[in-house]
Amino acid sequence: MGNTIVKIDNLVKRYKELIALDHFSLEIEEGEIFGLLGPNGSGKTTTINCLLSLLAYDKGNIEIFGEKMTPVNYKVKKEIGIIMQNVAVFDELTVYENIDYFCGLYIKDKETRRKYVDEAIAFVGLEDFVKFYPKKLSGGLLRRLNIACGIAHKPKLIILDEPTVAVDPQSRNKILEGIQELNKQGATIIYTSHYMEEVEQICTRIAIMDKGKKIAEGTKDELKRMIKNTETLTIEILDLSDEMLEKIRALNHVYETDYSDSRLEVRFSGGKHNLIHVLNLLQENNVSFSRAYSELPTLNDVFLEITGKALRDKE
Amino acid sequence: MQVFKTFLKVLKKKLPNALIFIGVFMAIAIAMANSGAETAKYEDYEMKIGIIDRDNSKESKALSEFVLDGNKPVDIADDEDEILDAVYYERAGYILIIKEGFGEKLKNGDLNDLFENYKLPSSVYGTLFDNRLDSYLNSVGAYMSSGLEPTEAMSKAQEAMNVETKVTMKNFEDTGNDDYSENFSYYYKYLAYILISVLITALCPVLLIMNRKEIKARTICSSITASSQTFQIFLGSGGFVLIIWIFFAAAGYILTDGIMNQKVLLAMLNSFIFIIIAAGIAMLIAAFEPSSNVLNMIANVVGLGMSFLCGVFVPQDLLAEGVLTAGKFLPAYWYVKANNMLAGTCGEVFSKSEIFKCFGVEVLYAVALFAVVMLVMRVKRKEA
Repeated sequence: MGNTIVKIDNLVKRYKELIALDHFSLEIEEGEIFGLLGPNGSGKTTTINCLLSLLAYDKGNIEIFGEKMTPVNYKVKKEIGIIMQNVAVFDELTVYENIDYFCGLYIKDKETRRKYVDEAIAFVGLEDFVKFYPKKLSGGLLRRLNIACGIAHKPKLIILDEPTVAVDPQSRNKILEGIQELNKQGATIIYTSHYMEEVEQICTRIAIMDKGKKIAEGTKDELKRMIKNTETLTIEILDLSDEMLEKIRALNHVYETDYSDSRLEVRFSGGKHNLIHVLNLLQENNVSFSRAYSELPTLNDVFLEITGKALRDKE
Repeated sequence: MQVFKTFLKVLKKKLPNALIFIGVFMAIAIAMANSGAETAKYEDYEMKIGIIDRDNSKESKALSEFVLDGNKPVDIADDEDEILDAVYYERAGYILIIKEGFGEKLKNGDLNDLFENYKLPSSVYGTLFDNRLDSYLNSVGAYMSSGLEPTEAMSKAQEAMNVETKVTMKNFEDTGNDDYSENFSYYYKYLAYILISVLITALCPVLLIMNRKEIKARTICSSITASSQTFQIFLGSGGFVLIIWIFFAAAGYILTDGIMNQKVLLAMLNSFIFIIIAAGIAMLIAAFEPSSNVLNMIANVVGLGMSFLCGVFVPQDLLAEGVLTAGKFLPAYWYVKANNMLAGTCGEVFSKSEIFKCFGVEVLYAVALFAVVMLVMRVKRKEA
């Protein structure tokens, strides 16, 4: 860690009247799995496209490996691997031919390429499907092929733009494990998603985006510390009087309560044994309840508290 | 050359669509070439004729001599059953019985009821021979009325009947062009439709795949330069276009008995310019990124539409003035017009300067098409 691999400085991108990126800045260090989290339309893909010089931007500067990123900086491009949201493979070529084609755009030597292609196939577990055409592959296998095409040339920086959209849980886990493995092998990863669980699971540092702006950045713990909420209790209660709700609100560290559809939510800011305190109070007042559980804050809570809306509101 | 190799691999997968057009066209071209070889010929027909001479006079012998001149004699006995058998089994095509008193009647100037005949009722040759005999007798009568003796008149009449008129066969469809055959003209005319169809159905899908948004993005992000990508795709397209042209030019050469002269070379040059236009049309269509279903529809509309408007299927001189005016705005019109000039059909006359004028217009269309392709691609890139 330590070397800055990607530096985005004050980036502005407009689509006519719409500001897609609003003075967006970011620094990514070598060896990180950096998560770009935000709802659909928050500017994640635009950031990636600007980063890759697929899109021209109106203002700002992008540096990768210490060099200004331009459409003709092929030295930098050689070290980047991309895995797009939509599967980018040829239906007319077999699994092997597809990986060989994309690897061949970077690696000229045939022997080296053959070795790299075989390694990429083994990495994503497609050994039994090398002669298959993409149309014969399941959704999960197709995503794995998409990843293999992006990483076969062993890039130092791998950019994954929502690689798990519409993927079954088993394949999703396999993909996430693969990303962590690539990182262990030395690659720096930029991972965009609107699935907070994935980002929480694999990313070492996260930037949360909304409306083209970076609204928060840090490790997941740092992000969670930024907000008031430390714990949320959920208790199913058939009948709860206003008087009882007031008593709960009066407990220490409670800063918000919400009772609807026989479901009570109590949010705490600090404090210990909060669940026991609430349940004791309910028992003392002969209020019956069926189920109670406690949750630590998630990135969704971070996003909710900062923006006033949930990450998946727009889905 | 990774992009080039992949271009060829994808092309290989898309080629069967084009092979249908090529196969059908070549089948028709081969059939036409073979039917063209069977040129109508006319020659004298030698009919088997049996003569039964019941008169046995000088006059009847003179008649027999006339009748057998150019025909094959068949021996027939003077027996009705044998006569009927000979006709029925076609041992003889015509049997003439010269009646007794033929010579006397002729001397008296009586030309009626001189002989009888047997022939198959449906025989064309028999009927023709009846006419010939009538003409002969009329001539004999005419000569006798001018004072000649019957044998003398018969000799003169035979002499007159043997005068031949030289006949030259003329075909309405004949181009009158020994160095640019009719088959060659048709072959190159219909080639316009095939070139457009083949390039739209084979080249367009490959270009669409190579330029698919996701694949293009991945390729642009790679370390291969943009100019190298463009060059390799251009090389693949150009190579395919060249191979298709060489194939059709060679097939045309072989199917038309290997004729090679100035007009044939001009026809080949015409088709070469036109295949570049067809490639431009295919690239322009691909630039708009249509779906595969829409692409098939476009291939039919452009291919058939241009062919009908420009005189590929219907000769230009049979097209309505309005259709021709519209056709002039399409490159195929100038291609067909040049071809008509080479063949000397549709009222066109071979003129090198006029043909090169047509080529010039075609080249301008090609340049304009490629300029529009580049413009559309630039606009599309900006929109993306």
